Amino acid sequence: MLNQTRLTPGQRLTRPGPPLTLQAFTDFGALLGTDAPVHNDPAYATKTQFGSVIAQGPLLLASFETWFCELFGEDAWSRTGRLTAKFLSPAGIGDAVTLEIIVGDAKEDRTTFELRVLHQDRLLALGTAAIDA
Amino acid sequence: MSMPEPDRRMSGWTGVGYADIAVGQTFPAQPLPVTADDVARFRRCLGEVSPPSESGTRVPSFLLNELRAMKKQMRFPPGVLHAQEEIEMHSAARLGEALTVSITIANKYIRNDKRFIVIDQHVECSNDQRSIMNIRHILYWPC
Repeated sequence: MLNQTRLTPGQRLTRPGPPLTLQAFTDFGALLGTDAPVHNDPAYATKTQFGSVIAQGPLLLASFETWFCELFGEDAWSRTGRLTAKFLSPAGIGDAVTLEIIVGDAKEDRTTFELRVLHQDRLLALGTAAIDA
Repeated sequence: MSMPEPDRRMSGWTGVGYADIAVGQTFPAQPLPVTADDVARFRRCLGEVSPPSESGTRVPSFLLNELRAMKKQMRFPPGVLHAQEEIEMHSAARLGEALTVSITIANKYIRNDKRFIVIDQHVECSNDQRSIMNIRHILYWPC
């Protein structure tokens, strides 16, 4: 397991985000109550300002949790994890999403991160995270 | 501050409007049931392959970062969108534990001619009153 001692400020890590499919939008919406038709009804969504169904914002972020658990362990995440993110641009079906973590300061036991969610060069979400490990 | 024009680009039903939302309103703690099937379905949404969950498996915090409980209390108008999310972890939730979520309307404000509602949620294990996590949703509210 990669851990805090191997991370250095400014280090940039990337990995693919979740596959954006109508099935994922529909299931995610049903599980979390984020089931507005703009996320799961293509006919409805064509009449909106987006022109097609869009991913729920939290779906774009959720894989960061898995990633932090891999980096620092489930216990550290579950006791001390913090994550804040703003949604800047919508993502649609088939958009290839990249998650990016940029390591910030590591002071005492606490490490901070900048988070980015991208589709190609388009920034979908921007945030920060912190964890004690 | 003047009230922005309602954003009715999405439609199809009606819901509680910005003016009728009371900052400070709280809702009683509600059960937040999570099953092994829910965890598996959630993992599939993320494209993750994981072994079957069983009692004691950690529940992903983003699976608890939900709006079902809030929607039982308040009908959202069409066009509500996530603007910002904040989560603060305190302890792991485990499958088999009884979880509850309490909700507060923490704030509402207008910025750049757009309406926003701030909803705070606190997830707790009712077996031992252990705090699991705090969640803050900032939602774009269209009208």
